[in-house]
Amino acid sequence: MIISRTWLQEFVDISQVSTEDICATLNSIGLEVDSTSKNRIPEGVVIGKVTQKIKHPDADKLNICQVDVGDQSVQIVCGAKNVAQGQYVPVAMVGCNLGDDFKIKKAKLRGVESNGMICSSSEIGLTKLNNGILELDDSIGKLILGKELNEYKLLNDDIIEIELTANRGDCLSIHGVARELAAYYNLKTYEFEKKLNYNDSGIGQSLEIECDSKMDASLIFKAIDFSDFKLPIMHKLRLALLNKYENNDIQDAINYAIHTNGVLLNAYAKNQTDKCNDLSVLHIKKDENNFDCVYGKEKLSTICISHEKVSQEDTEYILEASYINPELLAKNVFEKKIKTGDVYYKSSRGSEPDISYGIDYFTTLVSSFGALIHKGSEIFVDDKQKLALDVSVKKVNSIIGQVTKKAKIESILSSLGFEVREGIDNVLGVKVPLYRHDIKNIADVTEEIVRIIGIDNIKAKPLSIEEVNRTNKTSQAYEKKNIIRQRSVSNGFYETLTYVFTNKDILEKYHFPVVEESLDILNPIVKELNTYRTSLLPNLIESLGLNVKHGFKSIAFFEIGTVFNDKREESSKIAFVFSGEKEQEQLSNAGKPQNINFFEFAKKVLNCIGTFEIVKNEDNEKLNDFIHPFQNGDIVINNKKVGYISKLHPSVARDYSLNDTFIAELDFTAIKNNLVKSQTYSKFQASKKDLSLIVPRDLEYAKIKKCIINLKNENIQQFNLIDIYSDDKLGEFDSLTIRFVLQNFNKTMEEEDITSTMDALVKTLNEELSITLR
Amino acid sequence: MKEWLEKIKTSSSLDGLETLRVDILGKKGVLTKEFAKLKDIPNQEKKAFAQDLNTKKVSINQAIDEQKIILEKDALNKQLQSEKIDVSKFNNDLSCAALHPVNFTMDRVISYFQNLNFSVEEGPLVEDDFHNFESLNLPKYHPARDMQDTFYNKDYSLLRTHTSPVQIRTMLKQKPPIRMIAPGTVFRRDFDITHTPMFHQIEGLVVDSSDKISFANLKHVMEEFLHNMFGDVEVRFRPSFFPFTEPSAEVDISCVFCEAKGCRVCSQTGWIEILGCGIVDENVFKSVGYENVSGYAFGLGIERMAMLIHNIGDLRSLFEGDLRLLGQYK
Repeated sequence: MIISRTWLQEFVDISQVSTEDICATLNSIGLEVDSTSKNRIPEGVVIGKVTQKIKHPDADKLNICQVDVGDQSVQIVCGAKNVAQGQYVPVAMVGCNLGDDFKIKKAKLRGVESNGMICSSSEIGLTKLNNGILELDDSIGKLILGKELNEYKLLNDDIIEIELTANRGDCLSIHGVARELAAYYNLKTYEFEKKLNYNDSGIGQSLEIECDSKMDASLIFKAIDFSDFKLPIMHKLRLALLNKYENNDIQDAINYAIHTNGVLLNAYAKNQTDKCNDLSVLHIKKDENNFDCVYGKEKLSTICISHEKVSQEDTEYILEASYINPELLAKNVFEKKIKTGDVYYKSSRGSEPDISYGIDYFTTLVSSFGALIHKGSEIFVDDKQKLALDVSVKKVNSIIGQVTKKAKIESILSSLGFEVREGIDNVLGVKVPLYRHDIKNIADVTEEIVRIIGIDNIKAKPLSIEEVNRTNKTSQAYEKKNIIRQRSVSNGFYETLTYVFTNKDILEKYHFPVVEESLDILNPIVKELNTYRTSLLPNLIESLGLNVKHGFKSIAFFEIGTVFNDKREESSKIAFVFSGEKEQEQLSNAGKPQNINFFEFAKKVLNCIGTFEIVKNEDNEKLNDFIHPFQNGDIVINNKKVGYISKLHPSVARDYSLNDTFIAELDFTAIKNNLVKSQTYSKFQASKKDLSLIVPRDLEYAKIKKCIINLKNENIQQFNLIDIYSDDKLGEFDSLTIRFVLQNFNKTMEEEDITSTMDALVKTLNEELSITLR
Repeated sequence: MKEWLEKIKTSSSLDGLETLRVDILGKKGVLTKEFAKLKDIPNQEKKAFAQDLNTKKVSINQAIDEQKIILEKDALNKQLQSEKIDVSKFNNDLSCAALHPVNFTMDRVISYFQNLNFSVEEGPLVEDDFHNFESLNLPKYHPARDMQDTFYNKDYSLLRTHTSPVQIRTMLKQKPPIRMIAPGTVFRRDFDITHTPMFHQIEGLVVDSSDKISFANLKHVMEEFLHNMFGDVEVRFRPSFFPFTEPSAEVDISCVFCEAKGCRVCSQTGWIEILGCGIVDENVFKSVGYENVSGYAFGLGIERMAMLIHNIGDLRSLFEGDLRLLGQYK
């Protein structure tokens, strides 16, 4: 919503208030100022009159003009097509600076002397109106030849753009904003004076309006003869400011009036109406969608929703002012899902309901610029009752949190146009003005008080509360999440956030589950984000690819986030990805770090989320095509499969230009954050013993592990695989070296105790798995 | 004797010194042999001879100890010299990673309100019309729905456009007094340099008995919060409109980039919009069946806050896992 200082001045006397002050006020009363600008015409631009125009002898497109600038006549060569004798025009005199170092100098154009420039609106700092020069008229003030244009207040205006919230349809007009400022500054708004020029015939002599009885709209019609109507320049310039100038005087006058007072107007050319015995007929009835419509020979408009542009072919027009209750309108529009535009934007937010004021304003406006008004009008208006509310002063004060006296509340509400009646027990009887359809209850009324006293004048007060334990499962889960996030970051994984959307083609290409078609997104924003992710991994792998393109050689990410299953049920997952070099290029690796491998990746993930087992599962590779068939396993926590870990399938790695990459994804809720309970420990010396075993290459280490654990030898505290060796001699066998930590609870183990423990171990391994010592 | 002392003083290694000691004072050492002669010395000379030997022994021991200290010091110096490194070769690139700036900002907001004893609540991303709109005083035809371009699913469910549905879910599940925040992911159909179709919000709600909670209380908590997040900034409240609160306000802070002088970020106004808040509309309470209560609510966008605090230019890069950006937050 664009307003200007001089335009506001037509409704309220703000001459004593600075524009900066107005902006601060608008912000503080809830009409947010988006931007401000000042139109200032440069010094040296004066009013001139073109007294003579002749063609330039040597240039087709140039004219030689004699221009009267009061104390002298100057010769100016002008290239504008629309320049004409008798016009009043802005003249930039020699020496005038039009900004950006554009200084007017004496010049010769094709041999003809030129002493100045006849200017267009944009050349003197106003909004662009047309491709030619600006033709002035006395709508900007009395035209005095030679007078500086920067002395004309109407042209040197301050422009303010405000952003309105959806409830403030009443401020979609200059009058509406003026009403607000008047209330704030405690000023009176000017009374509007109706002044019309009538023609001889009454409206009934030429027009008949047939209106169905069950219409939602309030309507008033007038007949107007626009034969001699010409919209003055000031109005055009203001419309240009709004970006609404159409160079169609009738349409422009309508738009001007709508922007000025907020009443929705429309006009129908007489030749568009239905004819019946010399009478022009308009039919007003509901269309098939239950919208109020105007029909002539054909459908002319849907009232308050779509108004066609006014044709310029006629001279006689029927003017319509309309209002429909915005809620009624909005419900119907929502149900019928029809397309709407500018008119509906206003009507759905609440256009000005006082339509007879709108008619009077418009007819007075056009009649002062040559239009003739037919006497009489056709009126279809229901009496609207103002909403009455009981406003308890105590309640208002308890919502605000400080005391505002009853008299102050009364005066604020009155200044905002409410009718206020004193009631008993500190309760005010309040009637809401019709243009404030958004005000429905005491909270709304309180907001009006808050706006006008200013939130800055409300003293902040801490709330006293009773102590209640507010930790819950969510906050505990959040705490767990934070610990895991910190550990992941410490282990070199960057936290990422990727969209919960992903590309359906990608999911299908790599055989990830997809959300059922009937549950999928109806209106995705781009094709790459057209479905819900069913795994965190596709987006993470894409991020890896992006970073590889940027030259990163070692990339590690984790993400905790929501994923969906095929039924679109939500669950929380955590995923890790690691691609390329396992550490920074540094001295210790001579600048050539090795790529990460499966076990190093798994160890990192382990350090982030706590302990888990990796169990071989032949079925994993069927989950999706990211999984490497020979380097993958289930992630098992407390004997429950909760996710998987794998090398990224080389063909996928190739698709994304990735080096060796590893992935893991598991249910986030499966990670427990149990508090540690300490165990008793032996106080005696521990000893280490290595065993090298010859093991068939395809024998799973898990079996050896299980065999050792099943021994339940309490002296074996811990064992780790520390070396794998193979050579030609060993053939299909590997030599595995396992280091045992042996410790007894009751004594320091002697050599013979150690030997007997190890012997028992070797014996069992040999019996159960046919494994021998190297 | 002089010769021995000279040898001790010029000894250049601890090993050499030890050999000398053995040669002189060892079982078969020269001085030890002299002591052995003592038994053959006539009695009247014995005393003088013994005294002389003892003096010699003492001075030799002394010389050895002194030389030992010198040599040990030399050896330590050599070791130290040999361990010399150039400490400036230290590579000070952190090898840990970093939290995501959006989550990190969210953490700070959450912990602020947890310290004030707000509970943390959550809800689903896919919502229905009731929880996301209707119950929040946003009937289907309400023009304010334009403000939130919504993602719909083919079964007419939708992706929540704000975290406010969590308010509704919490109120339906619990009884007042309520004091909660709801951090979470929200979605709107917008995609440009300052808008991404997915972003994050934190919603706050406080409900207590009728007349207990006022706009003045809301103002207090918001001011304290913003000062905590942004330091010494000015806070400005502007009346505004949200369907679910009445009275409502938008809150601005003085621009942190230009110290309120006016710059590109604040569109020359000196102010930056940071959150919305208000007194909960009675229709919202009605929709969850609450009577005789009062309350306030607030909501803020995390990305916007992160942009301001961490000076992030293009929001879109936040969701691409771009290490050129994320790598800076170590």
